[in-house]
Amino acid sequence: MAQSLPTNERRRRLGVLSANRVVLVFAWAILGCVLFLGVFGYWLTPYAPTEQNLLDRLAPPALFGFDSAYLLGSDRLGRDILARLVFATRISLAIALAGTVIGAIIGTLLGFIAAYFRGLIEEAIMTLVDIQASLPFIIIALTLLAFVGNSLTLFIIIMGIYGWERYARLARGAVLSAQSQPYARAVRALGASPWRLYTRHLLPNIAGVLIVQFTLNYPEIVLLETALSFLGLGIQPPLTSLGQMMGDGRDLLINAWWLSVIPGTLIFATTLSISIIGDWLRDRLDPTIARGE
Amino acid sequence: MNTRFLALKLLRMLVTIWFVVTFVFVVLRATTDPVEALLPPDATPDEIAQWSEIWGLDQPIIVQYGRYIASLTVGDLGFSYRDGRPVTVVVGQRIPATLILGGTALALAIFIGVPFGIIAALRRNRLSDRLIMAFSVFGFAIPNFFFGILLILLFSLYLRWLPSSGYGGLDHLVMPAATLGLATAGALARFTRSSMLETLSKPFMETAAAKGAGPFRRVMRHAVPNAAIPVVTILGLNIGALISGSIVTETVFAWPGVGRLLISSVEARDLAVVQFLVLLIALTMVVANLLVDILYSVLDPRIRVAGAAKAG
Repeated sequence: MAQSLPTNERRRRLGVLSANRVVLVFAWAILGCVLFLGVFGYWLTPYAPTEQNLLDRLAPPALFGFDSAYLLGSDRLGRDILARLVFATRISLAIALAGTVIGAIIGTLLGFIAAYFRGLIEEAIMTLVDIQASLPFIIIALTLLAFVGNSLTLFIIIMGIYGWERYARLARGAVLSAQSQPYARAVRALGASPWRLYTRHLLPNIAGVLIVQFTLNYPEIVLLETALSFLGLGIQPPLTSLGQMMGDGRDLLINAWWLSVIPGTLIFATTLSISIIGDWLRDRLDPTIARGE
Repeated sequence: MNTRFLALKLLRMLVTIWFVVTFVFVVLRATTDPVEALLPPDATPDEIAQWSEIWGLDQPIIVQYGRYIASLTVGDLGFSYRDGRPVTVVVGQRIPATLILGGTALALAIFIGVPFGIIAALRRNRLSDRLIMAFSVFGFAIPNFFFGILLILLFSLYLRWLPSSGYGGLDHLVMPAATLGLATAGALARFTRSSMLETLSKPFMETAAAKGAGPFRRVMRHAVPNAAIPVVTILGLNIGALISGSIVTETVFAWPGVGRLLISSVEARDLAVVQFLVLLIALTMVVANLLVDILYSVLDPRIRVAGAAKAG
């Protein structure tokens, strides 16, 4: 880009840049709203999420101009959608967070183990990585749910198994390439244990890549959880999740579209905004991965 | 050298299948009594004794494992406990519906995604590129169950143009295929665009222009065939997404295919059906990946050489 560009070309490029900026700001704003809803949402409604009012079932949302006592309407038991939405958002975001953290820890650890022991152990771990990467994860999840039977513990474990293979690949690759670097050899020569080398010296060096992977995995786990809960195989009542709320409202689409559309919009907004922020983080923190252009 | 490349791929495929089979065996033995799980609850003691003997449940676990593998290879997969029919029959009935839906969605994704990607690359950073990329992000990010519900609301409940669920004519197929194909179309558009952009910047494109080839010929004869190679790989990766997507989509639209059968079997813990479906899907995945690998090396001789060099 050494030669000077024509003015309109330069202006267009600047325009392109600021368009991406606007999208990013929007993504942060939406994420902020979702988090606000999850944390302070109960302040917005006088009802509790479990409070039933059978005389006021399927009330339309007042927010869209209907005459109603409920800002976002009520469900088939007369429960306030807004209050349930807050509850569901907390559960969905928390379960996805637990799953992402578990996957990141297992994956990074196995990646380190593979790189440390090499040989047969590395072969075994990397074969597992390849196999998990080659099968649609929902199949593995459904097999476990069918054979073991659904429980909250199993469900969180399943969310944790999702995506570990990507951290394992990243961690192993990072260690293998770092081992030949002077600083790693210097640390070893100074007498540091492998554990210290990995946690104190290598981990901070690959933290950027792992954080990017974390933000890219998180929305995928939100989608996996909401999809399974939507199908009735995830979070079970009395707990609720955004996906379960959607699935609940599916049979009532004709009478009460808001039951499905409101939680669905929230899922879409959450996953889209985190994906956009994740892409941005990748560009910022990980210069080795080229942008998709 | 070509056979060696193929043999390696085949070996990998067999290892994956073997792993899935073993995974199912281990999880099944670890969590339930297989006779209870794979036979109908009203099975007579005679039947239970007979199947226990066939499966060799009194034998050591390693013998059981051997027999299990053997029974899989001859197609002895147990019975659906919900209606007592062999699982092969139960599943076989559902396969055509899934193939129709999956095939239509894939065709839709290719015929929309690839041309969109080419147009976006040729009109880089113009309005049409931005719109197509926005469509791609949208298609990729929207949960398919949510998109399906929005389609039902608009076309079935509001406009009343299309039936909201079921199986039959072309009108039943439109919304499920659009729902299932959307994400793949978005992914394909994005990858076609980046692949085209890379190809368009190659020196041979300038050569083609210098030779006096017109813009149409440059794009269709020089850029597109070269840009197609990575797109084929992405297509292979998307087979898995298509399978996961069809499980959800079939349930949303009450489409009587394999995906919906899997969900209802998991719900009812009809383990014999689940086991067979999981093996079938794993088999489909590895065969699809193998086909993509083969297609890839047919399209691009460089891969064959590199693969053989690594193998030798």
